[in-house]
Formats: sequence, structure tokens, C-alpha cells
Amino acid sequence: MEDDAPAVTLDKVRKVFGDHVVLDDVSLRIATGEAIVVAGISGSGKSTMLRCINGLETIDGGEVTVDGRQVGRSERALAVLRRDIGMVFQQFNLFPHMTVERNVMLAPLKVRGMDERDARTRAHQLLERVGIPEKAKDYPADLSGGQQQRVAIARALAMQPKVMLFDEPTSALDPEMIREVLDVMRDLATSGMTMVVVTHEMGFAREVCDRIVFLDEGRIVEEAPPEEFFSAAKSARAREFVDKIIHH
Amino acid sequence: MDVLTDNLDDFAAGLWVTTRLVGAAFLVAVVLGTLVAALRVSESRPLRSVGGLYVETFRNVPLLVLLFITFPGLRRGGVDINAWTAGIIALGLYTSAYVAEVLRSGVAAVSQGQREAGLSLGFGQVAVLRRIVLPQAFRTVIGPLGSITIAMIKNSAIVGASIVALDDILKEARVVNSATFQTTEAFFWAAVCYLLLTLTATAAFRGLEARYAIRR
Amino acid sequence: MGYLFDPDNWEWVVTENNLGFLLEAFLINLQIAVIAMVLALAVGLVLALGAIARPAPVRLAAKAWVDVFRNIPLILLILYLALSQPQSVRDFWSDSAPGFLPDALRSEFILAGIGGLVLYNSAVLAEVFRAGILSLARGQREAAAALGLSYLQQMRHVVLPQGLRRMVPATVSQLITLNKDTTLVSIIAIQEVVRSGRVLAGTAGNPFTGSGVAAPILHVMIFVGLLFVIANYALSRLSRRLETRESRRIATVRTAPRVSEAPPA
Repeated sequence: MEDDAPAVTLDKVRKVFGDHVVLDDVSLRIATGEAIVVAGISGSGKSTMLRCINGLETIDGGEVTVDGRQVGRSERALAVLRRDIGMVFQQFNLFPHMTVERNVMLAPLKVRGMDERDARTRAHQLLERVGIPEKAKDYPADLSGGQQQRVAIARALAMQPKVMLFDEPTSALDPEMIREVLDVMRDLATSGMTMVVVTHEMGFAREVCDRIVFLDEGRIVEEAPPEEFFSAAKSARAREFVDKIIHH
Repeated sequence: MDVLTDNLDDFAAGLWVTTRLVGAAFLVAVVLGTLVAALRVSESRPLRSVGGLYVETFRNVPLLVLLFITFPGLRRGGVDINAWTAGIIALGLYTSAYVAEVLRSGVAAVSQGQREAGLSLGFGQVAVLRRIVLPQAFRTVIGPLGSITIAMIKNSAIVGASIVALDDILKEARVVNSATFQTTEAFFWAAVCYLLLTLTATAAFRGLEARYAIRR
Repeated sequence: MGYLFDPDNWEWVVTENNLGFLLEAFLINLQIAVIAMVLALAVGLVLALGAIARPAPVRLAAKAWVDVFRNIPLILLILYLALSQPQSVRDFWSDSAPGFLPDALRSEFILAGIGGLVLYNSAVLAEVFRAGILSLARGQREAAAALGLSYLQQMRHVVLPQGLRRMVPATVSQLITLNKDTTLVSIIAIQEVVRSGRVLAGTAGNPFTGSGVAAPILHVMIFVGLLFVIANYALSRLSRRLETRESRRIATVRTAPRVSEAPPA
């Protein structure tokens, strides 16, 4: 795996809010086709790390690259880079003034300059793929949370990204809807998509991902394949974390 | 700068007149506004309609028209009203409609859950209103009352600019202008006087808000 | 009370063309309101975009402009513009104003009147717009950015369509306020409804060539007030209808509080 050009690299990334160090010399290489779960208690810097990858957070030190290109500060360059990075948010963030179909078509139309018919065809294929083709003409407000999140995944996929970022995609969902979203994500991982997933769903981590990255107070304290992480973590903090999950 | 220093007394006098006018009208507006808000939330339908009619009337009529009614209008009808009283009443009536609306929505914003929690603790209806609803409502209306006060400061200039013989900031600026022909300077310093008042009011209400804010 | 309800004191309403005279003048107020509103909306939108722009000098300048002009009295602006307007501008307008305009709108002071209304209201509306845009959940901008949309595309396709829709009720209430404020131009001698009312009542300084029927200023102004109450009440009903329709439409996705009604000004 290490021989391939990495899809994403973080090199000594530092992020500070006021006098609080959120990310402290974080370095990480993610290979093409790899699915990573980022774990840690809340406040450990997981979401911030994810948001540094597509430049939603600016970093105060170090370097981030995606597909060999540096994630800079210029909005223009960022917009170009973000075409190749899909992102799924905890709160879905669908555009409430557009139909489901329009949500999915927006970026291909306006950013890729695709024509209307191709964009619609692609949108319908993707809605099929996430299992809700019948909702194309509905507005987000008429969908359940799980359905909205699946539309959000389709919207991100419509740009044919090289990397997909998931920021706690199931944390805002009712328990009965978590499954349907995780199933879509599992299929995506199986299809070979490079994925970085911040989540508390350790079942998903155990079954689907290639590697778990564990953050504690802004540092990566453990990086291991899931079986090793859950049975033989090296750091005390990670063992503590695993213990809590198993006993709850 | 000369325009300011030479006429400092006039501007200061105008500032004081505007401040008193706004202060007095604010009291009128709060007292009337509270009464009307009480009508608006009462159990009786006719009383609610009276409150609604009051709000719709005074919120939709131009202040200038109200001033013509309270001053020359009443005087010609034989009511011996002086400029101060007429100005305070017009500005107070006009603003009271907005105060009533703010208070009403403040009370409405206190959730039913809060009422029910109070009732289930054994408080009576009145006690729930007094101890639970009103204190919370007061906090949520501080911000909107601040906007109303600022609007009042600006609206007070209409009182001075129309027929009512009150020498407020704007009136003093016009006097200085006709004496010196320095129009821009005279109005600039008048604007500064108004900014002084509006920004002070903004800061004061922000302070109150910060002090009594409730996190939800 | 007797004075107020004495039929003799209301006789002027049905005498000669007094009623038409007042209604025609009221139409001038509505016209001024519409003209000033259209201009104030355009200028206000530009100021709001300035106030949220990224370059700090642009942002600070736009914010300072907005904060100054919405914090000083409108009547002060109108009077200042009227008094400081050079004679050449007055002459230019009274000579070259299009002939189809009503006399009041060709008056030499009308530019000052409308100028003041636009200056003040564009600042107020800019603040309404800015709040509307900022109240849009941050996630909406981020989602658009994450898709690779440029700043202008984010504004055009995601932020403004939602923001502007949300501002409709606040904008309509500002229109009501503006409609009331059109009476202020009577102070710079523009013949709108308050001034016409004073002419009828014989208190405008003009020698009143009246019909011999007394038109007490109290009664005339109550009548004028009623015109505004009716027109503005209709507008506020319209605003409420728009508001309920809008909140039904995107109810469940709304995460930030909506823009509150504009305060009286």
C-alpha cells in the first residue's frame, strides 16, 4: 500500500483556536482506495482534522495534500481542489430551496459545466444507488433524516470525487435510520472509494474500514487495523476508549 | 469645528431637550404598551380585539400625522395642550404599539412547558405568571426594546421638525444653519449628537442583555 | 367629543373635490414609497454584500456606512439634502424632469426627499439582508464550498435564494415604515398628502381658496391617518401571508432563527 501515491497526506499539521491547541503535529498518510475511521472522544480534534483536508479549516502549521496537490489558502485554488473531495456533514446541509434532484445536479451543472440532461441522468443513477430514486422531485423537508443523508452522499458523489470525507454522518440520525446510511457507506468502501470517516459507530469501524486512527487531545496516539485496535491497542488512552465501548 | 465650539450651548441644550422628550415618551410608551399587551393576551375576545385595533392603528399611522392631531388639531378643538405634552403623547402613543407587540411576543415565547412546570409545582395561575413567565419574558424583550428606543431617538427629530415648538437637536441645527450658513457643519454635528444618543442606548441595552441573558 | 363628531366639521369631506384632492396626494406618497423602496433595495443589497465581503477594508467601510446612516434621523438627512442641494441641481431637475411625472415629483426638492429616503432605508435594509444571510446556517455555505462552488456561485445559488426569501416579511414591514416616512417630505414643501391636508385646513401658509366649509386640521389629519392605517394594514396582512407560506415550505430544515420584524423607524 505504501508504494502507491497517497490520496491524502497530513504532515505535522497544527491547528490552534485561541490558545487551545486542537491539532498538535498530526501526520497521516492515506492510500488510494483505503477507508479510514477516525475515532476519539468528542473534543479530541477529529472533525477539525477532517475539515482541514478540504480546507474548511485553515491550518496554522504543517501541510496537507490531496491527490498530490497542496491544500492552500486561496479560495479559488480551494474551490478547484474541492471538486475532487466529497464531503458529508453531520447535519446533512441539503439546500432546502431545491428539490432532491436539483441538490444533486447543482455542482455538476455549475462547477463542471455539464449539460442539463447528463447531469439529470447522473443524478438519477446516484439516487438509485443510494436507494431513493422515487424522491427526486421532493424537497429535503419532506424526507426523513436517513433519506436526507443518503441524498447528501449522492450529491457528493455526483462530482466523482477521488476522496470522500464523512463528518459524523449518523450522529444526527434516529437509531432506526443509522443502518440505511451505513449500508450505503459500506457499499462505497467496497467499491474502492478512498474514505475518511469520523464516527462513533465502532461496529462500522470493525467491519468496514482498513485502519483506525485514534486521536486524543489533538494527537494521533494509535493507528492500527481494526482487529488489532480492538484487541491489542498499544496506548493506554485507546485501551480505555475500547473498554468503554465494549462495556456499554 | 468652529461651528461646534461657537454653538456648543445650543447643541447641548438641544441634546438635553431630545433626551427629556425621549425619556418621557418612553415612559408613556411602556405604560400604555404594557396595558395594551395585557389586553392582547387576555381571555376575553372583545378585549383582545380592542388591543389589536389599537396596535394596528398606531403602528400604521405616520408619526407626523399624529403630531398634527395632538398639537394643532387638539388646540383648534379647544384643548389647551402645550408643545411638550403634545410631543410626548404623540411619540408615546406611536411607540406604545410597538412596545405592546414586543411584550406580547415575549410572553408568548415562554414555553408552555415552563407554565406547566410551574403549575405542577403547585403555583397558582397568577403566581406562575409573576414568578415564572414574566421574569423570562422580560429577558427576551430587552433586545427588541433596545431597537425601539433607538427608533424613538430618531423619531423624536420628527417632533422637533414639525410644528411642535420644541428646540431639540435638529431644531438647534437649523437655527445654527440659518445663523452661520454652514449647513454641512451644522447638520454634521447634529448627526453626531444623535449618534451619541443612539450608540449610548445600544451599548446600554447590550449591557442589560448580557447581564440578564438566558441560555437556551 | 362634540367637536370631533359634529357633522359640520366633517362636511368638508363631501364638499367639492376635497376628497379627490386628498386621495390624489396620497397617491403621490405611494409613488414616492415605491420609487424609494426599489432604489433602497438595490443599494441595500450592494451594501449587505459589502458588509459580508472578505476583504477587510470593504467590509469595514460598508459596515461603518450602514451603522452611521441607520442611526441618524431620516428627517435630518432629508432636511440636510434639501438645504445643501446646489441651486444648479434644483434647476436641472425642475427644468428637465420628464413631463409625464406628476407636479409633486417634478418639484425642485424631490431629489433631496427621495435621496434621503434611499440613503436611510438602504442602510436599514442592508442590515436586514446581512442578518438574513448570516442567520443562514453556516453549514449551507460550507456544503456549497465543499462541492467546489466559487464564492460568487455560493452566493448566487445557495445563500441569496434562501436569504432573500427569508427577508421578504422584514422587507415588507420596512416598506410600511417607508410609506409612513414619505410624509416627511411635506416638511421640504413637497405636495403630498400631509401638505395637501394642511392646505385644506388652511394651515400650510398658502392662501386657501376654499369652499367656505371649514376643514378643521384635527379632522383632516384623522382622515389622512386613516388612509395610512388602511393601506399599511393591507400591506402587513400580505406580509403575514407570505410569512406563513414561507415557513410552511422550509419548516423542518430551518436551523437558525428567522429575521425579526424591522423595528419602527
